[in-house]
Amino acid sequence: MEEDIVKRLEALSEKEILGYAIASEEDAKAFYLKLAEGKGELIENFFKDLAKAEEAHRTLLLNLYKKIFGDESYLAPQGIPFLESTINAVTLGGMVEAMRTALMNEKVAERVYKLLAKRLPEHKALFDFLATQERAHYKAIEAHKEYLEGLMRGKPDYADIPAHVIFNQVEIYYKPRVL
Amino acid sequence: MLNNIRCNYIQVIFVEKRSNIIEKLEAFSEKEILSYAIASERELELFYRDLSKDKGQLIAEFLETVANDEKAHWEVLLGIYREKFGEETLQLVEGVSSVHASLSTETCENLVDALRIVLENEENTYRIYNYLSKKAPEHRDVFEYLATQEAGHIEALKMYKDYFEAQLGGNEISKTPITAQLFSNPEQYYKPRTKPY
Repeated sequence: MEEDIVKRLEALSEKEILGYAIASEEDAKAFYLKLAEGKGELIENFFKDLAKAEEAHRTLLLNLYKKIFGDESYLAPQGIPFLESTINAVTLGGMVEAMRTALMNEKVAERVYKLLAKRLPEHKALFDFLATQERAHYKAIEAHKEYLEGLMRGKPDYADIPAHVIFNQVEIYYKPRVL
Repeated sequence: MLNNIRCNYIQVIFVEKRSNIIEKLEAFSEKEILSYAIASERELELFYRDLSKDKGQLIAEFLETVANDEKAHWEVLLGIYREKFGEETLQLVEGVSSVHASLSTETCENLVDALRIVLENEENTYRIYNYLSKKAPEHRDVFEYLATQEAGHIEALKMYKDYFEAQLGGNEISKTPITAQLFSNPEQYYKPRTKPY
């Protein structure tokens, strides 16, 4: 799917690719905010920080769009799907699945920015920066996914445990209690 | 209270050679190692907050995020410490030489210094958490989670290092002062300023 999306984007104009990138950042932000819900403050903060970064990317792209095309009324191109953004990450297993989707999202985003860096070389520094951030997100999410997979290794029933129960093991040490 | 702890803890090293940090910690008690980890995280938090100042909002947001993570880490560690030892007074680690008395942006004259110092620290904390996850198996999940977050920081910092190296043309990074100008390229698209940096 990643390959298919990038291939289709390659055939489009810069305006359409930028429109896709802006809409993707909106989707990614919503995805991470959803993933943050009800898991405990520590892991919530991780996903909220990712959402905040995607919001910043959207702002950057929208400002660039306005600079190049004179307005902010971007359109996401028809017929090119966004990656799956509906999630059911209540359980630990569901959470791992959602993180796999997130990894795919980040990978596509990085490739889109590399494509834009070639198509709009005068803004290469910006797109390289965005690609850098998406790659950093990928690595951070990958580390979290591997942590969760590690918890489930050899314990198949763990997949059905609510994720907040697992994170609570860390969370209980977070909020200081009165001695 | 932690500020007082920090003052009394200034001899603790924050940068150790990768090869010997665990070797040295092997000789210490769990209380000393936890104390070391708490103080290190606290220093890292302050370092990132200092580094984020006057660099532009975009990079500041990233650095503040990492600082908030480090703050959460020492709070978690302090929670474990309090549960285990019934107090918050950290125990000074002795016999570990100091490379940098403290992490401070004042010690970083250029970007490569800042990245090198902070990466070494992140890698050390990552090793310490892996070590603690084996030494204190009752808290294995907690230490593995903290190690996971440090792994994310390490990768992100490496990405930024690669980015700046590409922007600055290889070796020039070692001569580049950490100024807001360095971050101004992406920043101009974010919150355009009315006056130059």
